[in-house]
Amino acid sequence: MKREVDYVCIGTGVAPLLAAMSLRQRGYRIAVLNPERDFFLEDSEVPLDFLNFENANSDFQRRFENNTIERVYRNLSPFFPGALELLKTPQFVLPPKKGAGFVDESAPWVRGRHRVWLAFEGTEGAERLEHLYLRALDSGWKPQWLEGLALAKRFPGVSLQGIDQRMSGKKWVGFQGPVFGDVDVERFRRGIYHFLREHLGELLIHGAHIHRMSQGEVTFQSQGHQPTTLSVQKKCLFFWTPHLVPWIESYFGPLPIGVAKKQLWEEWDVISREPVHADVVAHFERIRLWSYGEGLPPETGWNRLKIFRRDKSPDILGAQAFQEIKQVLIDFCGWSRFSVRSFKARGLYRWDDTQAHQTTRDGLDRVLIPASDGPLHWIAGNIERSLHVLE
Amino acid sequence: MSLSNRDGAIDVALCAGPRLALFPTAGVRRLSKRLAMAGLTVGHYGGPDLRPRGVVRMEQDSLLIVQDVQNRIHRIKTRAVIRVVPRFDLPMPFPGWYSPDLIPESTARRLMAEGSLSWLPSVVILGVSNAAFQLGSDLLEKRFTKRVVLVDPGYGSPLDGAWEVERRRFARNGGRRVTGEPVHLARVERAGGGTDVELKVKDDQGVRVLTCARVISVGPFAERLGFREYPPGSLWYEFENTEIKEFIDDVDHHLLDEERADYLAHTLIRHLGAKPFDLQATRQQSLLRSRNSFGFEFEGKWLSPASLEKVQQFSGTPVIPVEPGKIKASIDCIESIGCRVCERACPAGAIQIKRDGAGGLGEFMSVDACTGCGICLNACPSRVPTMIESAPEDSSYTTMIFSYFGPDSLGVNDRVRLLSRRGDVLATTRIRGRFSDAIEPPLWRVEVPTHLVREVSGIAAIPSAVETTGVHDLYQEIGARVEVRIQGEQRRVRDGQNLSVALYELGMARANDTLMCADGACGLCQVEIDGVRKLACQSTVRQGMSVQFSKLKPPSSDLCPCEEVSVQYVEQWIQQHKPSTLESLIEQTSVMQGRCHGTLCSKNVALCFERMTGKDLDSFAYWMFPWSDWVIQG
Repeated sequence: MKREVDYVCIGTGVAPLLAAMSLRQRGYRIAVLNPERDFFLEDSEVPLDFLNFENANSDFQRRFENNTIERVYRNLSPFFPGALELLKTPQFVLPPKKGAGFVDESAPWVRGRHRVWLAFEGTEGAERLEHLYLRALDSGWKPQWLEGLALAKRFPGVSLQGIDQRMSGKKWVGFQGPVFGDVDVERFRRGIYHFLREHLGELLIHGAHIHRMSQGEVTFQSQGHQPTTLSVQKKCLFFWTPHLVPWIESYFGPLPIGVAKKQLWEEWDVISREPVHADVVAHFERIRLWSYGEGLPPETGWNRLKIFRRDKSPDILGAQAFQEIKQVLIDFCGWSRFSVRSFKARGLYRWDDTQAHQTTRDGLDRVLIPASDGPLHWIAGNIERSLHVLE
Repeated sequence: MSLSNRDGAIDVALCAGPRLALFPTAGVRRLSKRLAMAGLTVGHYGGPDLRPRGVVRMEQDSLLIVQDVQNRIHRIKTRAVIRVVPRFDLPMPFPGWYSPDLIPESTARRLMAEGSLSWLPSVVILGVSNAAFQLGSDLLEKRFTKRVVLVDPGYGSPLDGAWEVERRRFARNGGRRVTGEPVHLARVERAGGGTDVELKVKDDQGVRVLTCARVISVGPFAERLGFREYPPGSLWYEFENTEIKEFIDDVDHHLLDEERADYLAHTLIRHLGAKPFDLQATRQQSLLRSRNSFGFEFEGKWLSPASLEKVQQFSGTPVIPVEPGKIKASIDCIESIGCRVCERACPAGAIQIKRDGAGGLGEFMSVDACTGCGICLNACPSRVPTMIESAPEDSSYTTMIFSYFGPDSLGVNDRVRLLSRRGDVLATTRIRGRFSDAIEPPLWRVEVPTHLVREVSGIAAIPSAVETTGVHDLYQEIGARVEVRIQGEQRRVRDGQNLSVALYELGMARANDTLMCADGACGLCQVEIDGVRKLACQSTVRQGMSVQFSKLKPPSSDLCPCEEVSVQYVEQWIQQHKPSTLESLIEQTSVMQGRCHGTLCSKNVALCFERMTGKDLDSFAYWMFPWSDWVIQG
C-alpha cells in the first residue's frame, strides 16, 4: 500500500505527537511512526523543571522566564486539542469558587506551585543554598528567606504533631522562591494521543518496523499489517529520546556530540499518612518532592508524594538514597515510617544544545530534533521553535 | 533503622516473589543445578532472611534489590532475573467474589492445619485441577466436612487437568462435581439462626444454588505458560512454581515444576551463551502432560464392557484367580501420568513403568515379580493400589486387601462398604483381619464377592450414629485460650495463634484477610494492635491484646478491589480507548496500582485485556517495583 504524506514524525513519547499536531494544524499531511509498542512506555516527560543548577553559569533569568505559569500555559495550549485548565494561585480550592465559570475537572491542569528550598544549617548544603538564594535575589526571583518552624510548615508532607519539639535545637534553613508552573503530564499526552489516533487513523503506528528509508520513501510494517510505503514530500523528523538512541543512529546517522548529557533520576512514589500540601514543590539536596495527583486534589488533599532524586554515580537505590529520603521524611517531616508504593529509574537528558540538525541521506531529507524529553512545556517550546526553523 | 549497602554481581538471580511461602522450591533447585552445570553463577534470594524488593533495569543489565533481616540493602547486578511465584488461585471476578467466604487453596490448607472452625454443611471448590480434586479428597477423607462440591467454572481453562486416579479418589470419597459459571456469592441467614454461604452457579439449564460453609478457589483457571519473559527480550522471567515440602504431597506439581525448570534453564542458557543440555528426557516427560483426558465408562453402577476389558488387559492388574498361595498387587492406574511413586516405592522392582513410542503407557508392572508386600498401597498418593489374594477357582469370595485413610478407626469384624471407582456402594462386607502388623496405616483384609473384584476400588466405613460436628481439631488445645479484645468485644482465642486464623475462627475475618500471605506481601490485612498498625497475618495472639480494624466492607465484585475498579469500567475503557498495550490501561485506570501491588488483580486484568482486545498476553508479568508493600521504619 502506498500513501503520500508531507512529513513523517518518527519517535516515541509525546514529542512526535506534538510535532504532528502542530504540522497538521498548518495543513500538512502527517504520519507518525513509533518503533516502540506504546508511545509512553519510555515515560520521557516530566511535569516541571527540576531546577538543577549544576552549572555555575546557569542563567537564572532565563530559567525564571521559561517556568512561569504563563509560559507553561503558552507553550502547551496551542498543541492541546481541548481545554487546559489553569490554576494560577497556589491555593487549591475544590469545588471551584462560585463565579469562576465552567471548570473542566477532567482536563489537564496547569498549576502554579511555590518552590521551597531546604537545608540543614551548618552543612555544605546550607552553603550552596545561600549562594542559590543570592543568585535568585539578583535575578529578580524575590525569594523569601525562611527558617525553623516557618520553613517546616511550608514543606509538603510535614507532620504537625510534635513539630515544636522536633524543630527545637535543630536549625533548618531555606527560602521560598517564585510560583512556577507544572502540568498534568498523563492527561495531556493521552489527550493528544487520542485526538491524533482519531484523526490520523492508520497513519499513527505503534511498533513500526522500518524496512527501507530512501529515495523519498519510507517503507514500514507493524504487527499484523501489510507493509506500507509512504512517499515523503518534505522531511522525516526524528525525535531524540534516550530509549531510541541506537535506533536513531541507524536511521539518521551519528548523533552530534556534546549536545546532551544523560542524567539518572530515581522516581519514588511514597504514601503519606497525612494529607500533603499540594501547593509546594520542595528542594532538598538532590531531591525534588511534591504532592502527586492529577486534576484538582480532593478535600482531604492528596496523600502521595512524588520524589525525584538525582543520582550522580551508579548509586541507584543505595544507602545514600535511603539516607537522604529518610532525612527528609522521618527526621524533618516527622513520619515514623513511610511506604514505598513504586520506584522507577529514569534516564533524562540535560540538553546543552536544542538546535535541530538536518541531513540528506539516500535521497531522503532527515531532521533530528533534540530536547524531546524532559519538562513537558520545554519539549513543546522546542518543537515549536524547531518546526518554525524548518519552514 | 539504618540502611547500609552490599553490592554483588551474578549471572542469574533466582528470587522469591511475593507470597511464596517456601523457598527454594523443587523447580528452583532443579533450575539452579542446570544453570550451575552450564557454568553460570546463580544466586538464591528468598526465604525468611532475605526479602527481594524488586528489580530495576539498567543500561547493560539489571539491578536486583534485596533487603536482609538486618535491614541491609543488597544490590545485585545480574544478567537475568527469575522471579518465582505461586500459582494464581483467584477466579475471574463475579459479584461477591472478594469476600472472606472465598479463599484460595493456600489459605484453606492453613485453616485446615491451624484453625478450629466449622466446614459444615459442605464446601464448594472452584476449579478442576489435580490440586482441586486433592483438596476435595482431603476434606472428605479427614472428615472436615460431609460434602464437597467441585465446580468447573468453564472459563475456557484447559481440559480436565486432573488425573483420572485423583478424580476417582474424589468420587470414592463422596465428592460431587458440577459444571457452571459462578455468578454470585453472598452470606445468607439460615432458618433457625446462623448464616451460610450461598454460591450461585449458572449453567445451560439455569442457575443452581450451592449452600456451603465457604468456597475455596483452586487454580489455574486459564492455560498459561509456566514461565514467561516480560518484556520480551529483557531476560526477566516469572516462573510459576508450587510450594511443596515433599514430593509425595503433590506429585503432579512437583513433576511440573521440574519440567518447567528444565525448559527455562535450556532457554536461558542459550540466551546467556553457555552450552545447553539435552532436553530429550524432559520432552518425553512433557508428552505425558499432553495426554487426553481418560475416564472409565459405566453402565449403571458397573464398568462398561470396554472399560472392564481395559482393566483386565492392563499389565498392572493380575489375572484372576491369582496363582495359588500368592498375593498380588492390582494397580489400575491406566492413564499415562508421570507419577511413578509406586515404582520408586516397590522394593521388589516389580513396577517398571514403560512408555510406548508416543508417550503413552506401554507396560506398567511385572505381576510375576510382585511379592505382595503391600508397600505400594500406602505409598500411592491417589490410593489406587489394592491387593488380591489367591482363592479356589470356584469360590464365590475372594480376599482383597485395601488401604484406608479415613478418620474412622477400623478394626477386625467391622462392617465396611465396598465402593466402585465412581463412589457407588456395591456391597457391604466385614473386615476379616489386618494385613501385616508392620505396616502403618493398617491394611485391611476383606472378603469381596468374586464377581466384584474388578469393580471394587476401595472401602469406606459405615457412617456412625454420632453426627460429625465438622469442627475438626487435629490438635487438641495448642496453648490455653486467652482473653483479647477485638473491635471492642471481649473474645477468647488460643494463645500464640496466628491472628488472621483467629479472625476466621471467630467469624470476624474480612475480605482483606483472604490471602493470608506467609510473608505479609499483599499488605492488605492491616489491623491496629494496641494502637500500632500491623498485619494480622504476621501477628500472633497474646493475652490482653486489643485489635481494631476499619469497618467491614461488603463483598466486592471489583476487578481491582484495592482501587475499587470494576470489570465493567475496565471493559468500557478498553472499548472506548482501544489501548495498544496493557501499560496504557494500567496508567489510565489505576488498576494494579493499589496497596496489594497487583497481587489480587494483575492476572485477571491481563485476561480481561486479552479477551477485549484479542492481543495475546500469555507472557505478561507485572514488574512494578517494589513487588510488594515496602514499609521503611524510622
